[in-house]
Amino acid sequence: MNEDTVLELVDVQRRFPDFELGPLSLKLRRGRTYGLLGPNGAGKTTLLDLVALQTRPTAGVLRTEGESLSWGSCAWKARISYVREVVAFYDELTVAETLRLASRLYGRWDATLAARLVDTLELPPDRRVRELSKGTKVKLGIASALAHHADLLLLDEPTAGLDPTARAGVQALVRDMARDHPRLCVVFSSHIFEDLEETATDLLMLRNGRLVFDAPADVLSTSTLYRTEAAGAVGPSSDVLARWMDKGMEWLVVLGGSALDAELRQRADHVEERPSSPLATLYHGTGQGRGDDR
Amino acid sequence: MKSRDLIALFAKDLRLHGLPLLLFIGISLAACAGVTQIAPNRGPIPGFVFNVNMVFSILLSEWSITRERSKRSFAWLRSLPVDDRTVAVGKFLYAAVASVVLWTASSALFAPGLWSPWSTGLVLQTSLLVLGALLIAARWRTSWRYAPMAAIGVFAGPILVFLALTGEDTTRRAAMAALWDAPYGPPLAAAGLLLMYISIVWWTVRWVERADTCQLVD
Repeated sequence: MNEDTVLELVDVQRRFPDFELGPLSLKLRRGRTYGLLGPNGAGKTTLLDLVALQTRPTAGVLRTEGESLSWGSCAWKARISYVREVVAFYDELTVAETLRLASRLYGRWDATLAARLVDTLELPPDRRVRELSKGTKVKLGIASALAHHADLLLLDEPTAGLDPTARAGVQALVRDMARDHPRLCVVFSSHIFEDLEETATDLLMLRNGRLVFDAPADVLSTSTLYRTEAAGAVGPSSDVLARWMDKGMEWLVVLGGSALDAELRQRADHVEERPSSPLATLYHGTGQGRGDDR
Repeated sequence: MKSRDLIALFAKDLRLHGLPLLLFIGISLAACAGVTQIAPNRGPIPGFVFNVNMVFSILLSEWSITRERSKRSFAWLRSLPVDDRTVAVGKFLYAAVASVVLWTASSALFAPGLWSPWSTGLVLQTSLLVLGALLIAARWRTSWRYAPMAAIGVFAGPILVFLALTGEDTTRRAAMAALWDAPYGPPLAAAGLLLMYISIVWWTVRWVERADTCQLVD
């Protein structure tokens, strides 16, 4: 495993009576901000729960630094921070008390950095958690993550339910954090395209428990979208980032500048499309019919 | 299990419920004192003291488990680097300490006869611990609102069955009374109850360790 890989998931699967996530394999790397996209029920929270050891995988392995993670590993939990969609700190505790409790339970805690973050993020230390807005609770979670020097920060829908100003604030915070902590890996789930386009360096897209897209965000912006009636004319290829069927047409997202891209440009049976938002097109497209893995 | 983490969790629970806990203990002791003053004889006082302690066990499970389930704070706790065993044992320990404090104070002050012989008081204390542990286990395993009733049923069921089976003035009742009156009777009962308490704690801790977080919150 590359030393830049914080976590590797190998054929990880979780089965519930009415839903199945995976099997999926992916690597989370240091210094990257992963945008995890998918509709409600696609498995975003389940994936984050698996990574944070909140949900036990039915099959597959999670590896870090060449070692398999064991269920409940405190050593792993000490390296990550997980801010859930419903941020659930203790309502009765103040911001300062919440950070003090976290400091007692985390092995490595930078009290100076924590105090600085409280100032920088404008957290009210004496205010009880129950009095905080969701945006401020997210900031508290992020302050806790940074103060214990987490390697991996998991944010589950941190902008859901926020007004535009608060949303922009959280987006800016995630961007600043990624810039100021170049070794930090962030996984940020959302179904708001703008959040991901502005923040993510890499995109992960889930559909019905399957990972249908896993590539750097800039690859998507420079890729080419083709539609064709000749479904199946292009076989499996690493240059095909995603494909789906819609109303009898096959749609292909092809790696920009690749040999396949050059070939399809010459072919009359493939028509190039120029969507205003490649991400939105990919998202809606993979929701049609069957969204295949590449 | 780290004692440092256990202390931190214990302090957190005290910070969250310390005031209501102290208030309940104060009000309970005041109520026991009031009943002692107005009761025409001391006959019903030990029963009243025991019942107050039973209610306290129910409240403790509400404060320490139901609240964390419904507010989902278990989910945050579980994302921190604290092992599940510490979290679970911490909850039982917190409830046990609180129960011992109220039972010792209330029975020593208002029903000292329960401690003569001393092992009778111990049997009642361990039975309160068993009830508290059953309530915590039931609360933890399910968000079902009638979970405490089920726990009380499990606690009281065997006693009622025993009373029904032995009946008044029967040889079986006499044999049981003789067993109780034997020097080893109450210590044996206390040891049995303690074993039951440890089993409930062990079984619940094992379950918490294996559970997905979504099973620990509503």
